[in-house]
Order: sequence, then structure tokens, then C-alpha cells
Amino acid sequence: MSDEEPIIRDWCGIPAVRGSRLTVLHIMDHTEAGRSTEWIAEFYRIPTADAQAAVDYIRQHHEELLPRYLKALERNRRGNPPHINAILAKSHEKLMRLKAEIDRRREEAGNARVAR
Amino acid sequence: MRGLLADVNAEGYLQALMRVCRGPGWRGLWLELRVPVFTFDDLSIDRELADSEIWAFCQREGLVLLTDNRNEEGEDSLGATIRSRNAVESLPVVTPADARRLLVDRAYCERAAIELMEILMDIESRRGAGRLFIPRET
Repeated sequence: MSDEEPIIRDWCGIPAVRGSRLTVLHIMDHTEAGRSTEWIAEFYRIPTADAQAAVDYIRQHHEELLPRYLKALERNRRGNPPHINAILAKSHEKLMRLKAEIDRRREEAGNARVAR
Repeated sequence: MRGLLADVNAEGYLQALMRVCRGPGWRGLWLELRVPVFTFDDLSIDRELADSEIWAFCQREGLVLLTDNRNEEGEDSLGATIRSRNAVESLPVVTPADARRLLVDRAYCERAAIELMEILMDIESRRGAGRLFIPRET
């Protein structure tokens, strides 16, 4: 590949849009959903020509990219291990208590304004 | 913690999450958390930096990285960096469990936004967690 080509290999060997931190696997989220090249360019704030190069690359290499794409999706969907989820769940109650307190203060402030 | 940094690949998803955080019902809480939000452009971060360098930058600058980075393989991948360099005091990185769904499923996006706020609220006790996926269950 020449230095001018928009699709390069990133530091992990994954085809990526030059200078963007976007691999074609990110772009595949949107090509698989049927979104347009223009939409992709706007969403990631990249030149339309770069988005088009990524879309073309995906079209040409779809068969070889798809297993890697699906594997990455599956890994993310597995999410956190149970012990991490248990820790995170404790924060939920705390957040909701804080929200209730803030909502109460706002309501009191609103009532005070009405009373004045 | 200095703030939340959206990776280039996650700026669009950040906007979806922020619409919830700054929207009706959650705005007061979000303001109470006082978390500045940055993009790579805001901090003049080089987009060509490797994942390992971005991770180190976030640790040095006290930033929680919101990223859709899925790199697990390779010496400089984010996954390998977290596995080799994450310590008890390290700030976590946050990754949407299903980024695509944030854009099309309002309830799912709200769950993810609430969990992001939970993480940021209790960030000191989330140090060392490595990578956290939001929302927890899909």
C-alpha cells in the first residue's frame, strides 16, 4: 500500500481508515445496518471519500471480515464478569438516592419561587 | 478524575448518551456529578497514537476513556494494554456493550447512560476494574 491510500493496517493489523482510529469493523456496524456512506462520514466526522473507501473495502472483503466482526460483537455483548456486575449494581441504588435528593431539592426550590 | 474522554470511534455514541444525561429527568443529576467531557480535538490528541499510548495518556491525565475500541489482539491493542498494565489505581475504560443499539433503542441508551453516570459517580472505587461494559445486561 502507498502512504496515500485511505485504508491502512492499524497497530493491531486491522484494516482502518488512515488517521482516524476507525477500523473497518466500526464502519461495518453501519454498513450492516444499511446506513449510507454520507451518514457514516457525518457520524464519524471523516471525509466522505474516506468513508467511501472503507465501504468499498468492506464490500470487497466482506466474507473474510464478517467472522472477525461477529467475534468482536459477541465479545462486547458478553459484557462484564459477574463479580464486576455485582459491584456496579451497588452504585445504582446510590445514584437513584442522589437523583431523588436532587429532584426533591429542585421541587422545593420551585415551590419556594411560586410562594414568593 | 479530570473528566471523560470520548475516543474518536465513540464520539457519536457519546452524543447519544449525553442526550439522555443532559435531557429531561437526568439533567440535574448530570450537573451534580460535574464531569467535564472532552473529545480528542478538545485536547489536541494525535489520532495516530496507538491504543497503549492513549491508555497511558488517560491514566496520566486522569481521564476515563469512553471507547468503542474492540482491539484485543496485538501487543499494542487496548485489551493487551489493560491486561498487562492495569493496576489497582488505574482508571477504567468504558465500552458500549452494543454500540449499534445505542442509536436505535432509546430505553437501551438510557440504561447505558445511567450506568455511565453510576461509574463516574463512584469512579474512585472503580479504579483497577480494567474495561467496563455498559449497560451491564443486554
